[in-house]
Amino acid sequence: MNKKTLGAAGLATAALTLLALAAPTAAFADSSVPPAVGSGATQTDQALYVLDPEEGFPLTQGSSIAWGLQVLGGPSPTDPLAEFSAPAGAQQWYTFISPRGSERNYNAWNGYLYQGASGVVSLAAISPANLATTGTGSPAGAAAVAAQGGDWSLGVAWTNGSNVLKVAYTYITITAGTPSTATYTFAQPAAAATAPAITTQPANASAAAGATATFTAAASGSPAPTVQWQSSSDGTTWTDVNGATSATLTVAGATVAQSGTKYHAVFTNSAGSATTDAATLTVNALFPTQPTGSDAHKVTIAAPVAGDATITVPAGVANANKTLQVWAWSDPTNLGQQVADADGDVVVDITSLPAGEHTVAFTEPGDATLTVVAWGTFEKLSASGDPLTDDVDLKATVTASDLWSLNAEETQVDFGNVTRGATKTASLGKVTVVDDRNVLKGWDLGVGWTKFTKGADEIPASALTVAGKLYTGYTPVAGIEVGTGTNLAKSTAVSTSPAGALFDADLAFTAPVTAQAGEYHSTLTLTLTSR
Amino acid sequence: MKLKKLAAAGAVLGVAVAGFGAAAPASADPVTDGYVIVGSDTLQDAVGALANGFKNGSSTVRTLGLGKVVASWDAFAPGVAGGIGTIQTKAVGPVYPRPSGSGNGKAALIASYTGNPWVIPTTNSLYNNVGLAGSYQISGQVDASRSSSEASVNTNGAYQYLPFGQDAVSYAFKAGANVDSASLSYVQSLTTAQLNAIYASSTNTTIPGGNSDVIVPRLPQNGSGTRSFWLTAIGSPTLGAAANGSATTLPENNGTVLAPASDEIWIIPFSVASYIAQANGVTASNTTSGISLGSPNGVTPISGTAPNLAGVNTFYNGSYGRTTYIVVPWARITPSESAYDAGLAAALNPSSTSSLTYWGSSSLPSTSKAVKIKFGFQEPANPGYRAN
Repeated sequence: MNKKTLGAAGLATAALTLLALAAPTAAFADSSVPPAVGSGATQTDQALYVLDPEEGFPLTQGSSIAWGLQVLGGPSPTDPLAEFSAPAGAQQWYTFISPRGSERNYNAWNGYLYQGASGVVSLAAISPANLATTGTGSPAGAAAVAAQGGDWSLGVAWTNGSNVLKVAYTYITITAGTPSTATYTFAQPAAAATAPAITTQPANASAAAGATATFTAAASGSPAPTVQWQSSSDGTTWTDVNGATSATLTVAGATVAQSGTKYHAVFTNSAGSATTDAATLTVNALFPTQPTGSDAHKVTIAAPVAGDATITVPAGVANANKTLQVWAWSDPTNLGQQVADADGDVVVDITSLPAGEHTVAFTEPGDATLTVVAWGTFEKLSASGDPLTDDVDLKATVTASDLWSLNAEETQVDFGNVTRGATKTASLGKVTVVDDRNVLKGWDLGVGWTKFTKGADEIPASALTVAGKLYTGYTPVAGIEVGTGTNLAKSTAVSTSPAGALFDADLAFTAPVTAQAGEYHSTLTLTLTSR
Repeated sequence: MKLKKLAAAGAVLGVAVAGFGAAAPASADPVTDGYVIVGSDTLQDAVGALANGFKNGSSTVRTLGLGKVVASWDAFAPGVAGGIGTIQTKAVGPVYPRPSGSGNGKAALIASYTGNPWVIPTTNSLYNNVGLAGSYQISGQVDASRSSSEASVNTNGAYQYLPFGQDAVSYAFKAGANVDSASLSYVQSLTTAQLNAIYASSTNTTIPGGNSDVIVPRLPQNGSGTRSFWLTAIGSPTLGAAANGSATTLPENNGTVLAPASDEIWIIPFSVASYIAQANGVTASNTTSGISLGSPNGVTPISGTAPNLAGVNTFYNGSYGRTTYIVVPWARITPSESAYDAGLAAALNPSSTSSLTYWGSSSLPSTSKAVKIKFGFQEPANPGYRAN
């Protein structure tokens, strides 16, 4: 017979509600707090986890289990095959449901199932629907408990025929129903805290002077440990590093004086603490320390003659043919790299150095400790062609006319005859603004006008429109510009020069159709305002 | 003839135990208000273990139906003439013949569900030989049956065939005195064609090689699923006289029925699962001592050593493999039907790790799957289906 594809066994029914992840109902007490562990009357001798029936790992607390679903109970959250131990003298073991506080009184059990002769137990089947035997507790039978709902205890017990010797149970809260419809939530044991254990030791770190060095450490533990970095100069006495409470310690702007400082991290949680090994900070100077006096590796440099571009430094046969990094003082100067010859002599270019006493030293490239391998002193004599400096003081005095004026060239503008409804235009004429004050502030040129009157007759001021513009031929200095509306012109703090900034305006008068005939007069006023 | 007998009261499963702490031992004849399962003996040990609770390491596995027990009735009662007697499966219910074997179990289930009488004709020699042929009213007395044979698929069928586990059938053999070792080797790996010829022969088959050793074919009783499957697997030979097909009422899967005389090797079909379960020591009795399991066409059915013998998947999935089933009225496990029984459905729910039919992904010892493997079953090759 050929193997056929195995479907869902062809079972057309969904006979049982499988695990329904539902939020705990608010109607009943929260079963999230598990029973205390101990041998007391209301304690459980061994904590019981409610486990997934296929995997054996704890079900998520807060999820809702159907009354009839097969679930398991075990003592471990991580090892499905872990066993409950059997107490001495026990003869049988049972699974049971009881009122809370009555777990150790089998006469109060509502329902139970005999499981077999006493022994160690793993993966106990604790499904309340299958507690087939009716107990003498009230209400009688697991189904009656399901119908009532509320808070109960569910678990495993060992007896010797007359007494309950050991219990392992948890609390459940039932949403009432029939064995087909009731559901329950359950408590899981609180996770035991585990002390921190270092998982990453900090490594030694080095940085150039002024740069940043970092140290990183890590530790396991539950709850997640907090961390405090500490520093020490001798590896014995430790001080907290202010604010260094994360897994990475950053030492910014490292100084050479800090080189050699040791750091370690202390991880702490409620179960204990653990300290990492010490890691050492090394700070590399950007320059070697200027050798002086009788420091080791001093050599004698032949004094250069005035005008010499180079000196020859006998670094010694130990440095023959080596590439060396060259340093010079009194101002710390990096003179680049030079190669020593077969005798260990190094030619150093001194043209960039000023006249005076100097120290020159060599280190090996790549040596972060900048250990001087050879050094000496010499005097450079000044010579023609050497760079020289001299200073000249420059002075200038800025002056201004301190002028501030406004002038409109025309004293009168006549639109002439304007028939009713018609518009006539005219130019305002040259308007000169002068701002050459000693202290410049900027200005605004505004315009306003009255209504047109002829005796008792009036034409509203709105009959006139004014549009500012630059006077023909005038090019404004940057910062001076025409405005909009009643702001004819404006300027930032810049001088117009005594010649002034020149503006004009297009005037347009429209005679209303309602106006009486005759000659009307209005007064237009220009205002120059400093900012 | 109807026999009326009140069942003996006693401390049995499913009844509240008076006197706390009394250990109620498992029984193969449990009167109960739980769910009654009868029929094939191929899977009766495994079903019985799950019904009564089986200790697998430090886990105990038991199938229950929302608090109601599962009562599994063996196909034969030891100590009873012909292995068949009468039983009473429900309190204050009728007494009736023990349904024995896949076919009789299904017939009894149909009678129980439909309310029509279970008619056992005189041609059913198993019952007729002990005077139990007749018509029996057993409405509501049987909830499911064990079957090691297939039915015709009918998408609207009244019964659901739920896969229980994959069994395989091979042949057990035992040699009498004076049998040559060469003959023994020959019998170890008979081909299908050879087996066919052996069972069609009118005389015991002489083993080729010039010896006088013969192969004596034997068969379990009529109505046995193992018997009918075996004959199909070896090509449905017309039974020759040598097979003694009509006279025998030998129980299935019992090595003690092999009683070869001198120069004879007896062979009989044998459930591989049953062989494994017996050799692993998880059944009440072990009849595999002194017998060997043949490898049809050279394919070995088993691997490992007791108490951890297990089936070999390639053999189980081949032509000598068969799916065994729990047969139940479809309406009783379908929530939308008025006949729906939530407890019966729970006991047979393939998604529940302790149901009779679980073959999910779990490898925990606390599942019925782990128990069934220990009893020699493998994951079913066929899906479930409906039939009449």
